[in-house]
Amino acid sequence: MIRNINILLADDDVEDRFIISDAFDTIGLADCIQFVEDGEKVLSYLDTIGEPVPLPNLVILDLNMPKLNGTQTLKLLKEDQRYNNIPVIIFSTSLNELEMQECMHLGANSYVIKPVTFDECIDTARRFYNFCEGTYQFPTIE
Amino acid sequence: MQPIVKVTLENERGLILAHKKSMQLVQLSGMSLAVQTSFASAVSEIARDCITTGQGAYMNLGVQIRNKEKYLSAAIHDRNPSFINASAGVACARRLVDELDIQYSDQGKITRLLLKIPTHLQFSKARIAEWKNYLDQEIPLSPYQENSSKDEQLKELAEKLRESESRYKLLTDTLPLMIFTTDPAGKITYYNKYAKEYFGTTLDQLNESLWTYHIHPEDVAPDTPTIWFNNVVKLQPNQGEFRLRNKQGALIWHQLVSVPLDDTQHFSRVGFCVEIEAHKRMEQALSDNRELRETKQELERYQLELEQKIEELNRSNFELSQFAYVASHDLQEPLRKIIYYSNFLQQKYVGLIDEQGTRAFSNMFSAAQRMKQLIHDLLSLSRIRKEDNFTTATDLNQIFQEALQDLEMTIREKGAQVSMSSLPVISANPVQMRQLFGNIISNAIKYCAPDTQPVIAVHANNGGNGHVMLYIRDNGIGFEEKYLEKMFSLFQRLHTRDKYEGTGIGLTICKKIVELHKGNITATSTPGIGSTFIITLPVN
Repeated sequence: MIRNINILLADDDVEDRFIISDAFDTIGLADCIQFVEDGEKVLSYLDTIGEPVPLPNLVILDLNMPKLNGTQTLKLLKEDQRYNNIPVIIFSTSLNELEMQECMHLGANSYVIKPVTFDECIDTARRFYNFCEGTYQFPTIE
Repeated sequence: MQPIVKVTLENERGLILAHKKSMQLVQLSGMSLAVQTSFASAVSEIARDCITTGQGAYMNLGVQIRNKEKYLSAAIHDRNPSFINASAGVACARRLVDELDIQYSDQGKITRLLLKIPTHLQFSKARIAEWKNYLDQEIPLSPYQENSSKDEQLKELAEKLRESESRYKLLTDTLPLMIFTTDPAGKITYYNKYAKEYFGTTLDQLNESLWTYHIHPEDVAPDTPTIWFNNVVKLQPNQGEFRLRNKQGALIWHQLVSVPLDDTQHFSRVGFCVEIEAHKRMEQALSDNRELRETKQELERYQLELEQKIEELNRSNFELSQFAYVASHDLQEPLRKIIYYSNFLQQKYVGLIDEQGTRAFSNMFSAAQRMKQLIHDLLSLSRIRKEDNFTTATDLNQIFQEALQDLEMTIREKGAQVSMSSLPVISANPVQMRQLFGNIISNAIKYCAPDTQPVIAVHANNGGNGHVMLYIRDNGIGFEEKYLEKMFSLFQRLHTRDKYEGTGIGLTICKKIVELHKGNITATSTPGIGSTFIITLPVN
């Protein structure tokens, strides 16, 4: 089965990468997701790919990352004409109102709190996929 | 010396002549009767000694010029030098003239009396010659004549004395100050009109009540016997400041100066009192002013210190809230992993773990969940900060609906029934309002007896003074009102966790939100019947 969904997730926490990877694996969508360690790697990854490899359908950014953090990366992506159409979801441990407002203002599609339980992780992975398919919309937080 | 007349001093007649000629000479020179009498008396004192004890004594009256000063001179020659000791007569004479000196020699002694002639009295040599002619004339003398002439002189002197006295009295009575004289015991013997009117008492009354009534007791040392003089230096002038009570009873500051009278009545005094009330008031005003200035400076210093303290406090508060935020955020990270892994193991390896192990996993999971809730609540509390507190027109009806939506699951689970009357629109922070109402409704549902359907009613009324009052009434288990204060404090809980879950932070958050909005939150309750939370918030 050929899948044309490609998600890029940036998180400096190896365990978090493993958890999400495991969740995608559990639902049989392991090849739909790629991982990088920080914001800088997001940009360099995007810069190295090109035709015929398509741009990711979704970029998921952790907030607290070394070098380029989530907010900075989001800003750079939205300022770049090549990438500003890629949907971006912020993926954070806790809800910080101010950061969330800033991210939404910068053009993030949603702000998702990292899941806690195993089941929630699987749900979240499925929602990311469904979001790319256009079958799920994350609730917009004001 | 330029001699004018010589008088032989051998008998009583000589004494009379000496007195007479001396009087006349002074009179001729133009000086007053008092001076004439003084000089003549002085001459008489010396002459009497010579007549009694001397040998071949005589007197030369004349004029002497020394250092451009003119003097009338009486030189009394006595051939008997043996009488050396100064007699009472000499002492007496010395007081009456300007100068008295005695020269001793082989020929005897010469006693010289000098009387200074005031510079304004000019006279020539011709005048002196005239005096000589006049005085050389033989003076007819009879005891009767002599007596009556003395009487005349005495009368004249008494008249002058009366005049002088009345002049002084007039002077002392018109001066705007008190003048006293006292006897050696400090008893007032005279006071002027001003003093009399000031005290409004007779001398006797004043002497009696001066200490007990007219002087403020604070102004004299307890052991001071008198204000007239200082016990140690009785001969020195003395002064002091006293409040003296006048006849109307008012105390007025006076300065008193008293001076010992240099006469035979030892330590009699003359004194005066000047009112210095204005001076004292001015002094007081200046001192008050200085104190005021100092107090003001002190206040300003305190103010500055206070501002510094506030600044420090604000900084420390800010650091604390930053700490709370960072700490709780970073604490969540590993906690999330613990929850995830325990859940992961429970899910994936359930077949490999026995019943006991499963229970342990389950307990670990719920403990971790509680910690997550605790951190979440602490984080919420730390985020409620004045600096981030923007306000906007907030429709409380909408906010309540949102809070109910947040609690939708719980409401459905417990079958809670929530009713609401119309709520106002106020200026507030909508996120915080939602949190506030959410916490209270969540509590109302949570603290409900197990088999009871939670019934919650919300209504509002005008609290007056630009405030709105919100009432959230429930039919929960309630609480004893003595725990009211404790209930709103951080980490304070009224129930054990196995009965009712909670972190003890929810109501603290509510209180903080309400206080940030300059409002007030309280509650009333009857245990077993229900509670009503009452929130007062300013409309603007």
